[in-house]
Amino acid sequence: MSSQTTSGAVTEHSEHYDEVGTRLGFWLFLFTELFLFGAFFIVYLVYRTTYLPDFQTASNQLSTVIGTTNTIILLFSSLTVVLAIHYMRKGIKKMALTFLSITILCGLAFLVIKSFEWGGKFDHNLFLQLRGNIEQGLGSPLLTPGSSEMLPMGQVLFFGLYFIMTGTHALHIIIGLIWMSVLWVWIYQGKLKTDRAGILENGGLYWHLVDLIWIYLFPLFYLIA
Amino acid sequence: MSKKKASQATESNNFFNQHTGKWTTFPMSWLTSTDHKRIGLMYGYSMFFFFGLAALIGLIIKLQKMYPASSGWEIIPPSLYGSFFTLHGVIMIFLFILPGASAVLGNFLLPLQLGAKDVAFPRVNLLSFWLYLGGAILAVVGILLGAADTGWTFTPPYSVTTKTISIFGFSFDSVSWMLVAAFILGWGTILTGINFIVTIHRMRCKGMTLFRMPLFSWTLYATSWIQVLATPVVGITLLMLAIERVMPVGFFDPAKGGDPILYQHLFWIYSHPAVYIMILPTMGLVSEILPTYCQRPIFGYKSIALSSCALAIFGYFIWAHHMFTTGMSDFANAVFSLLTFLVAIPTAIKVFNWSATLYKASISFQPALLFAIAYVFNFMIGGLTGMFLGSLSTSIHLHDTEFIVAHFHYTMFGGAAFGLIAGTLHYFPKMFGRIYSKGSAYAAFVLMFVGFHATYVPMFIMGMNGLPRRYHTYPDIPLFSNMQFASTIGSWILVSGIMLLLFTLVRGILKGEVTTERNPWNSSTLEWQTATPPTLFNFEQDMEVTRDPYDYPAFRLEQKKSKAGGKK
Amino acid sequence: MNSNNHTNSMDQHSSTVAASVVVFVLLIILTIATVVLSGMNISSMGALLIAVAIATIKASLVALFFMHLHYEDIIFRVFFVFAIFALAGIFLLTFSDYAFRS
Repeated sequence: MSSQTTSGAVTEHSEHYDEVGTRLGFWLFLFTELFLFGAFFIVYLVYRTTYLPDFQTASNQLSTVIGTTNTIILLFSSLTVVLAIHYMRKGIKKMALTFLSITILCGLAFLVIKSFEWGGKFDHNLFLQLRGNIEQGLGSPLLTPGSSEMLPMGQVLFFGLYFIMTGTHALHIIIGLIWMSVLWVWIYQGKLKTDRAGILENGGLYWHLVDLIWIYLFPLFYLIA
Repeated sequence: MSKKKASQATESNNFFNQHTGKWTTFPMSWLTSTDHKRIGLMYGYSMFFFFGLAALIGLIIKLQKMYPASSGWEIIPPSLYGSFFTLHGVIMIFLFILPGASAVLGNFLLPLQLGAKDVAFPRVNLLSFWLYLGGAILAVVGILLGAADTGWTFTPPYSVTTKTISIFGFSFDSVSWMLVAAFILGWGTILTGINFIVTIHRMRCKGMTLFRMPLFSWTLYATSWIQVLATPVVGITLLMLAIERVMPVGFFDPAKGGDPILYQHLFWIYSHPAVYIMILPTMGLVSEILPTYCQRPIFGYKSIALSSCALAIFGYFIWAHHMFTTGMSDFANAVFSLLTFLVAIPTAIKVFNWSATLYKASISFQPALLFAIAYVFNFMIGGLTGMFLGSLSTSIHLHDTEFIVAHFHYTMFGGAAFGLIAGTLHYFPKMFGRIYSKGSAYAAFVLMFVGFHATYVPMFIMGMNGLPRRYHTYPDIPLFSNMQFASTIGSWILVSGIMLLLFTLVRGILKGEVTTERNPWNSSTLEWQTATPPTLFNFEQDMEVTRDPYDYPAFRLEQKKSKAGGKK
Repeated sequence: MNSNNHTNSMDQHSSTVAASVVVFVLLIILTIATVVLSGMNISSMGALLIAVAIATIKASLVALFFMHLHYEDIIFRVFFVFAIFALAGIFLLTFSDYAFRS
């Protein structure tokens, strides 16, 4: 917690930087993310139990290899961010920067793989279409009612959930990558104090959250059958 | 480590003229201020403005229902009626009573009650306010420009497909606009909740164990947990709805295999705990007001504190009592009905404790106390009528009738809003260093109390006789016509009371008699030991408490000692 | 409760490199396990439960060790359990509807 800056008749005021309090506050923020994705998972579970065969068929169209690879990449990046923070706390900047770089690269790799994965889906005519376009008859088989190529309802719901949930997850990876990159620059420039490393700790926690969500997304989307 | 505190409070040195940051003139010195007291007041000014605005809209709605349409009476055309109650609901709920006592008095008082100099994250606090103000402006503009008429509940499928009419001649996706605004507002609430939880855990002054914390702080704690754990669910649900409007994925669309009831589950998972966000801080305020005007310890401090937490926890798991008639499984109906009945218990505990506090006390009937007692009375009626709604058989008869409208106005208006008003009147001298006109406040109370019951009792009767809600008119049956007429007259009395109250407050702020008395009501909690109005960092020295917050005998001893010692 | 306790609990433990790597290896093993098990012929409800159970073990490892929950003040774990309890509650109660529809 930084000190208030004041002007006028009031004297400057020094105080403790409450690192535990900052971390406690950030954990509370992480809970909100849990509940955000929790709502998505409720929707997923409701439709999975309603349309199990469709979900199984649709899940088979996702590549388990790609999913497993991405899982391992994220788990590894969680390890490297732990090490980066560990070395930062010890003041060994070079190691910290190395591990932070690996984390960022892993995140980028995840996104690249995911974009190839989504591209593959688009090639198979599986994509979300804008409502306006559908009304003009430009639907995808996913969404055009009455089309002979229309997927069964359960599969439509599966892919809708797939794109939106992995998309939201990818958005969080992007935010995490921006955060990690800013930290990288600050550490490199010596702007990050080891006794005020809250923003580094919290960045690590955020990254682990992103990993946590994927730990549930992976089996629920890729490993149903 | 010792802390240097702000310079001594003098008559002219208080948080109104002490600034954080580099701006020293209004408005920037306020809009960029991280001072929790200024932030609280900014919330207050905004919220009471929105309250007045939405009250006037309510007045117009009541005016529309004064006579049945068959008599040729029309104030609002049927196509616009939906937009009116949507606007009224969205403003009253999202912009007034949901931030409510937590945003105004919570922000102002929590650090004062705890003996702290600010909240845990002052800059995040300011961000919360900006999110509130930004979301509020977006919401109001959005509804006005596109006349969204989905109701504040945004239920699909109507909310997904409705192309809202525009009242300014161009097409505008008012519903998506509002959904995004609600999402932004939600984040303001979440950040406030996080701030308060950490403040309470980390910034209590020396000697203040959790069970020496004042009850308003306890209720803010319980409220903050609901804010953190419930709001995200509705945030993402409303975003899902917005996505659905743009890209039809079918989550809630039966034509694509989706379930509209699922939306209602997710929506009410937040919106029911939301009503506990509205009411819990006001329960804390009443728990501050009653001991003060009775000059005696509150009865059952620990049980009020713990039952507040219990209310938050129970209230989290009863949402589907809003959905009894939607076609849920019988099992779910039974489970939620049972859990709903359980939630009456913590509230009843508090009412008994409050009554016991008043019993045989030497009561000073200040305006704040009148509103507080009216609060208990109104909330009891609201709560008891809730029991009819929580019981499955009667709920089928009463759901979506005017009975429900009366029920939630009794709890949210007669309860939470009256409580907020009581708290505002109680803390007014401390916040502004001014005194409002008591006569004016008493008059406003009488008008509001009489007008309130005159407006809403007829709605209970009409609802029991089957009149649906959200209808722009009604059949010309004597019972309905008479009750609607009476209710409309009641609304005139009520709104004149509201206007008089707002006028009293504004006049008090601008022209009230100046006071620097620290403790005009002789209250025993820590916030009254600050200067009036408080200085920027609240206390002149690090505070320490050695007694319970409502220990009036010990408090009186302290006062005698300090008078004898010649201190101020 | 000592509200002025600003000691950094992180100083009191040393999250050794070795410990973190061990956790990572466990996570990889569990990942492989969940992939292998999904290929086996189990009932769908059983498969779901096993997948969620393994995911929960993995998540616990990440939360307790990578996110240092194990080493923090107890209040962090109390908060976490409380939040999980609330989340579990809304899942269960929502399914009190869907599991029993005729």
